[in-house]
Amino acid sequence: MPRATGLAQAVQLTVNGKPQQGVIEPETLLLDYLRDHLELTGARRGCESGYCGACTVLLDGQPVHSCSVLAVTSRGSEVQTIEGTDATVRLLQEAFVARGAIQCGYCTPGIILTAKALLAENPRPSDVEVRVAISGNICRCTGYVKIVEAIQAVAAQMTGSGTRAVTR
Amino acid sequence: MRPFEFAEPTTLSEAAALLAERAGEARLLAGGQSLLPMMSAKLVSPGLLVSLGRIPELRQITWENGGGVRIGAMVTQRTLERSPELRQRCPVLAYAASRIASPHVRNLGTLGGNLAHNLAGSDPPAVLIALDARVVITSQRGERVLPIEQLFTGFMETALEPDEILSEIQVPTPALAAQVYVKHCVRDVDPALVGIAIVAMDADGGSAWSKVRIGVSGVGHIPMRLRRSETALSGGTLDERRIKEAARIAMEEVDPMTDAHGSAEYRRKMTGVMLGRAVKRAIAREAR
Repeated sequence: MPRATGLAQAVQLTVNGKPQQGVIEPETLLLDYLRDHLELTGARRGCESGYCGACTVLLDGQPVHSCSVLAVTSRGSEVQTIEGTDATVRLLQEAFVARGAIQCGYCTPGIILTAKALLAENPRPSDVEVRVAISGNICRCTGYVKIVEAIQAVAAQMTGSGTRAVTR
Repeated sequence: MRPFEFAEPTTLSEAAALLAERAGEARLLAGGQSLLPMMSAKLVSPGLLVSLGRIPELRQITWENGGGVRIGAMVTQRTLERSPELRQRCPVLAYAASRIASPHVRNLGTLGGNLAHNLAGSDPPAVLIALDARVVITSQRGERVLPIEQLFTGFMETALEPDEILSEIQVPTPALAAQVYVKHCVRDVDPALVGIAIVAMDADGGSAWSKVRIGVSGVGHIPMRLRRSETALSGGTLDERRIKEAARIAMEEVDPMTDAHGSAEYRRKMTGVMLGRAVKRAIAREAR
């Protein structure tokens, strides 16, 4: 039977498509593993209590607060951070800039990853569905109107059914 | 966060053995959505953390022939919220799961962890009390089953002993029952200031109820059942006068607390308001 194994633990997981392995202390949060061990600083430390969403990453495709996950329990998982830019992330980044849905930028990586997960599951969400999806992400600069608009613009663009023009 | 030893057993009996061996200094890790922030804030510092994340049997949802459902303690809120079968057969529980915090939290947070944490204002307890659910508690000493109401013993305290694991939630899902959960909170991601669940069997073609059960959470330190309000709503025609009387009794029955989110007086008044709304929505067959 597995014993309490003392301190250091081996982990291997996939981050932004690249296999990673290391030996870490069990108390290492996924957030700290990404920032301090892998030097991926797109996930930000915010409230450290699971409210603000600045530390959001995708864990097996789903948004989670990486301040509330241990790196050791993420063994074998696929993690995506904002550094793992793909086509959807790129579209969202452009739409956020174009529509002024970004000011200080602290919350932006988390919201973009959350929006990516939403659109993967629900390509044409209602505004309410967008707001529910990003309820685990707090923005203290812009309010949420422009953020919802930016996400909806990308939804329209990706499904080829939109009428909302993106204006600078 | 202070250093700790970490174990990740793959069976429930291994987890129970580890917990018994280190009772008092070991803590169970479920989804981590409450415990890890508390550990980061150094409010809790276990010597040994035993993760339940690699125990397959705790992730199962099993439907019984008699209509009930057994939910493994490690089933996430997200799974409950999205389960087509639960949404059809027990919509009030699926809905309560969908009202917990944010999707980010629900993706990892578990039903067992939620109940064992016993945060005031948590959504599932009111609903599970109304549904007459039971929890299965496992330890090396054996297994015991508790009516859900008896799990909650004080502010963030439960009947769980240090060597015990809340392993399963058993929920009867009676057909044709009116069922509703209403939540009053400041922001959507907050715990309930008042959360009221009603589950009732129809009588007289829907104009009255028999076997009414009401659970409330968020008002006082622990979730509770409103027995006198249940009696007030049982049997007779569900007219305005009866609903008002039940709401008045509910305001007497609760034991409200004051915190930063609302005073005891406010919680008491809103208990009456929300009970009235819950009854009307249950009559209208709305699950929320």
